[in-house]
Formats: sequence, structure tokens, C-alpha cells
Amino acid sequence: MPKPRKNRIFAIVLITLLLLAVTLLSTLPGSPLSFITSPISVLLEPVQKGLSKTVDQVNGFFSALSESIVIREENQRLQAENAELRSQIDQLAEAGRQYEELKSAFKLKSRFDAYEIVGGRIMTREIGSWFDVFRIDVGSRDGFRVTETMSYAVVNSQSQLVGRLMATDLASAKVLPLLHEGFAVSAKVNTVSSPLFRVRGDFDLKEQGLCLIDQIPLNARLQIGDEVITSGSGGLFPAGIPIGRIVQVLENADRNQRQAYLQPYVDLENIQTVFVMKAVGHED
Amino acid sequence: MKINRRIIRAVLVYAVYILGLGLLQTILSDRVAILNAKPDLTLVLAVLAGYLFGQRDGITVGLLAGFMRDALAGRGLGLGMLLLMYAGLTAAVAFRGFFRRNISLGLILVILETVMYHLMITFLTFAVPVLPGVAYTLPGLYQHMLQILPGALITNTLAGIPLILLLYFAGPYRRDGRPEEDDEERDVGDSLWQMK
Repeated sequence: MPKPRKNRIFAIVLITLLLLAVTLLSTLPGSPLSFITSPISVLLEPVQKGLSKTVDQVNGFFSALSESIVIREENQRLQAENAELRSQIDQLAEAGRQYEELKSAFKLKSRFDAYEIVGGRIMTREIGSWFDVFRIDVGSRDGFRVTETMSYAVVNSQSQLVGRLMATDLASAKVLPLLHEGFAVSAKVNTVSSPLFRVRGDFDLKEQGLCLIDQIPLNARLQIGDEVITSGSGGLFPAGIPIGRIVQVLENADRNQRQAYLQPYVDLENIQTVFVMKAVGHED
Repeated sequence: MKINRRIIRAVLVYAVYILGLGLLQTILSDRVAILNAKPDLTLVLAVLAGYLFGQRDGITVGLLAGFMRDALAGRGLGLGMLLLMYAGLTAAVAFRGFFRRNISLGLILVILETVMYHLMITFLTFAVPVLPGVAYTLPGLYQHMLQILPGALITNTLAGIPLILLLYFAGPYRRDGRPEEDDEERDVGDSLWQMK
């Protein structure tokens, strides 16, 4: 075998082993390898934002063309709705004043008072079903740093669960969406003293846009249409974040292995902005 | 001096393609998806670079495009680099000699490499689970691959048409000045472009 070819084969084997090692090392939560992507994030951030904006505008233009009739009808409906909502706003403003008084009186805490909410724009989306996390423009410079024991909940503008941060570099973070098979959260039905169970992404259900509910206690009564929220158990996700609704309950002969399917509220395909929740006072 | 200009041109052209296609791939709307699959532009780029311009280009473009993919949408670092490096390498080694760098056969190569890529990532996802605590079964992964493969084949083939033309007419090297690649040239036996 000629020497150059032998050297080339040796180099390829070496690179392969090195990349396998990098792959394994980068899977560790809080891996320092996450920061290798910092330069590329910083450099590409303005380009990506510009590109995303252009794509949004192009999409918006074509949507406007194809949906102009629908938009006109919707505009009329919205105007009527707007008038009704204005009246409701006045009533709610008064109710809000009363609530603030009650809140201070009883020292109630708002649901997420203990959390700082930082908004982020989605910069890149998944590439097929194997490279399926998305990236947002919030990073360690905003005070977020994922470690083995620390991550952050990600919600949408309606405070509905989107996922959690899985890695951060200087200028960006990767978000593991709740449909992903690597995602799991302790949850319960949105009623008083509901038993806890687990909601997680599932490899087979992902394509249908559904999550799996498992580890359901024997005494739990789940029904189609029940709203599921985070339980707060585990400390990563604050209690009370809406996740979605149960769409199917799979009763098993072995009641220890009951499962259900959940339709998440969040529309991951059309989401543009997300909010990352950080416990106030947490600086690492 | 001539060599330097040639290298600079190649580096610049590849940089534009890798950055441009890498970014474009991550912001593509679902509207362009066929059978739930969007075109894998960086894979097609690595394959065509290897096929048209040889091992060195295939490996280098594969590694850099893979890094972009890992950085932008990967669960970890390294997997995309590994996969695309081998896509570029096999395109150069296994098929270039057989297809003799015939451009019209490049699309067949894209199809074959797409199948190989999906087989490889299916196996690697099983063998090297990137997410801790997630266990995959090989039959489950294989079923999933079968579901997404038809769409991937169609979209990658469609994406291959403009990319072949781009690399041919606006590629990293002048069409009359392809680089000599030591032993590779002897393997292939021709150093001229063929446009059939």
C-alpha cells in the first residue's frame, strides 16, 4: 500500500475516533464542548436574525396573497370581537385592581413571581428528525448555564410549556422540545390534590405531535379532555405550567402500566418567540 | 501565486456554500417538506463535493458542514461531522470511480448516499445514544427510518439538481483548472468534467 494512502486511512480512523469521543463527551449535561459553538453563534447571530426576518416576510407575503379573502372576513369578525373585548377589558381592569388588593392583603404570590422571564427568538429549527432541537438567541451571557443538575423551563407567550434548555453557549441555547424522546416532566391533572405522573416525549408519537403519559398511580383517574400541568416536583419546572390535554387513555389489564396520550398546547411549528424561566437569585 | 488564488477561491466558495446552505436548512419552512421531510442541503453538498472534487474536498466539506449542523440543530457535537465526513468520503472513493464524475449520475449518487446516511444514523443513534436516559430499540429506529426515507429521497434529489449546477457553473475551482489530487487521479482515470 502506498505511503500517502496509508497515512490518509490512518488520519481518517483517527478523526473517526476523535469525533466519537467528542460525540460522547458533548452528551454530558453542562459539557464544556457546548462552548465550542460560541464563536459561530456570535458571528452568525446577526445573519441568522436577518435571514429569519426575510424568510418570515416572504412567508407573510405569500400567506397574505393566498389568504386575503379569509383575512378580510376575519378582519370583520375581529372588529366585532374587538368591541366586545374592550368592554371586557374595562371590567377586567376593575377586577385586576381588586385582585391586587386581595393579593397584598393575603400575601399571595403570583404563579411565577419567583422566576425571572427572559424572552428569546428562535434562530434555527430542526434539520430532519435526527437533528431535532432548535436554537434561541439566549445564552450564557444572559445568565443561563445548563449543568448536570441545572436546566431551565421554556414556555411560550401564554406560559404554556415548550421544553427545556439542553445546552448553552455564549450567545445561544439549544432547546429540547417537549415532544422529543429525551424530554420528561413531572405533571398532574389540573385539579386539587391530583396524583403525580410523568409526561414525556416518545419516539413514535413525536411525528403525531403527541406526548406520552406514564407512571400513572393506581388511584389516578384520567379522562379525555383533562388539562395537564407541571407539578413542580423535581424543582426544574415551576408548578402550574399548562402542558396540554389528554386525548386518549390506554387502560391496561396490568393497571400498573397504564398510559395516556397528551396533545400539547404549544404549536412548535409556528412558534417564533419563547420565554426562558430562571429562578430569581439563581446566578449559575 | 496561481495556486494561492486557486486555494483562496476554493475556500471562499466552500465557505459561502457551507454557511449559506447550513443556515438555509435550519430556517426552511415546513411548506417545502415532502412526506414530512425537508431537503438535507448540507448532506447533498458534502456528497457532491466529494463526488465532483475528490476525497480531500469531500472530507473537508463534510466535516465543516457537519459542524454547522451540530452547532445549529444537533443534540450534541460530533455526530453530524462524522456522518457528513463519511458521506463526502464514500462519495469520492466508492462512487467516483464507478460513475466517473458524470454529472448526470450525481443524482443517483445523492439517492444512494441518502440511504446510506439514514442507515448509518439509525445505527449510530442506537449504538451511541446522545441523550442520557433514552433507550432506543433497533427495530423501532429502523421503522422510523423507513417512514422518513421516501420524503428524504425525494427532497434530497430535488435539492441535488440546482446544487450540481451551482457546483458546476459556480464551483470552488475553474472548470479548466481542477486540482490534481495525487493518487486519486490515478484511481479515477480521468480529470475532465463530463456534462451529459
